[in-house]
Amino acid sequence: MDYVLTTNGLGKRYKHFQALNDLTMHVPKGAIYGFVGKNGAGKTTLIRLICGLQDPTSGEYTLYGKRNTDKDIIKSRRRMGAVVETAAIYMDMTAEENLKYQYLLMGIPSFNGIPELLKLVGLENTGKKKAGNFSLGMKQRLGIAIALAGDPDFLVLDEPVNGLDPQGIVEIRELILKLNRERQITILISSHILDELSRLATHYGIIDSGKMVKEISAEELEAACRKCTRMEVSDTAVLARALDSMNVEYKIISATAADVYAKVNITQLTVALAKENCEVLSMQERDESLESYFISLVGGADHA
Amino acid sequence: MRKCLSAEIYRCRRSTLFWLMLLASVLAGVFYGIVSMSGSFEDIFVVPLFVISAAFISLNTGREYTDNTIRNKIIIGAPKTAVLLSKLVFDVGTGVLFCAAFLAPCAIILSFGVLSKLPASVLCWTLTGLVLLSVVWAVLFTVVSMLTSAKGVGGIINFVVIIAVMLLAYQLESILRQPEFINTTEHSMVQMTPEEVKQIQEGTYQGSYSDATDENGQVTYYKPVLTNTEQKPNPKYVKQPLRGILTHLDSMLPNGQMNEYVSCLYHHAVVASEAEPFDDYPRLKTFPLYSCLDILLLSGVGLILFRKKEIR
Repeated sequence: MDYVLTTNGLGKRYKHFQALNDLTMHVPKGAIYGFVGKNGAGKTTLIRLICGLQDPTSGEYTLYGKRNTDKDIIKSRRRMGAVVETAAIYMDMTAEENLKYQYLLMGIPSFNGIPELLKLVGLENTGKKKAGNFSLGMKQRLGIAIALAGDPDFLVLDEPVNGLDPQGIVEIRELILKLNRERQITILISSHILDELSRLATHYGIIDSGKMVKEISAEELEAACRKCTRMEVSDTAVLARALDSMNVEYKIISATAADVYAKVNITQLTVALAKENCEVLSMQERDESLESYFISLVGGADHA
Repeated sequence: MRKCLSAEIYRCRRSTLFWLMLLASVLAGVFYGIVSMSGSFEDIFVVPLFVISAAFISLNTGREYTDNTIRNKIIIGAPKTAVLLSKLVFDVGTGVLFCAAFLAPCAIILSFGVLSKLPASVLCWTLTGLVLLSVVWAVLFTVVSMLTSAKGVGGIINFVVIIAVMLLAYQLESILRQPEFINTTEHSMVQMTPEEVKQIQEGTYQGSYSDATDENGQVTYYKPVLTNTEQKPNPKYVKQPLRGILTHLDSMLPNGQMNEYVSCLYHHAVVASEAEPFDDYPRLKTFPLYSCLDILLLSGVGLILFRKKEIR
């Protein structure tokens, strides 16, 4: 699999505080990677490191195959755009002027692409309004437009919907999906709002106290959070035969446990199992929400 | 670096702050021209030019941190060296522009009076020196502002530095101008002659005197007479090698140079008329070298520290 960004044992220490600790992650090309963690987990610190704003204390990362210590990393950086924490815009300039400034900074000779970029983020009608007078959503969109100025294929967004109203959240979400689908831009989004990420992300990285707890794809996460009945029996082979005859979807967890995903007639099942001398030890309904899955992971990490 | 610089120039043209500071420089130049018409050329009235430069650079650079726009430059792959160098070049350019805006009205006003008395060589050296000093100050203000992330803190540090350098330069000048020897004199009191007493009574005597009245009421007049003059070493005179060190330090300080420039201007505008300028002010020719040294040192320190700075 092609990875746009990989980190290997990345660490960052600020005086007496270890912000990142042996963090390893992989962002696949073309993915919308949801970087999930509590406040203070290390999400923004990681983003600062990969954007080159700060240097890691230990470990390394690669961007398009180039290590952070390579001089060629500059070429890789030109393929990415980022909005770190708040949108970095000049408040005393208009949206168009901000983009012209960015174009000059990047050495793009012509300003012809600016009207299309403004239209993409929904700021085509701002005219002579200074960025300082924009709403928070408009500022965020202008920040994204600036990040897109160099036509990047990797976009890093640090909590892009923070402080936005529901309308603003929907606009940003649709923009992100559009960028990923129409322009095949790989997107790394950090957030602590799981519900919002679940509508966007194709991959997840869950971070806690500077460490990566788990990396998981959206499909795997969906499977992990699916509603089911956990059954403990004396012989899962017998259980499997009984469930097959009932045309019920299931998954064997171990020699004595299985998850049953469909609604099943319990009396019928226990009678079928009893005929083959299989005992039912326990039955438990499981309905893992994204939050409970996340908390179980993060809480488990605390006790590890 | 070229890209960063062109972007900065683009922003500057749209900056109200820049145009306000340019106007302030013109007004400061008019004011300096008026107060210098008598030929006094007080250096204290040049300080507003550097305050204007400090204000612009501190606010302009501080805004990059407040708005977080400094991140954009690094995220797109611009090396920190290029970011600082482009800032230095830009701020030096604005510093020189402010200096030109200050000098132009000043020159126009002085052309009606004292300017014609100044030899061309003195004018050239002084103008070159002042432009170089603007560059030195601009580099210092830029380095301070780029290293301090807070707009207000950078501005305060720059203003404090202006005052500290000014006071240090005055103190050094005071120390270095002490003569090596001082004259000590001894006097004794002798009785005045009848003619001199008559002058005292008539009120026509010029000089100091004292009188003493004895128990009989008779007044006797005395005058001081110099009995001995001696040259003694001045205890406040600083000897070598410390003198050399202080002289070099004074030459490196922008205000140390400024004191010498205005003294030279005053000398030729008011005191002398045809004296060879650099016989009395030999240090003036070395000041451009010291300014270049200041620029290199400050830029070097700034580059080293900024590369290590962590951007939030």
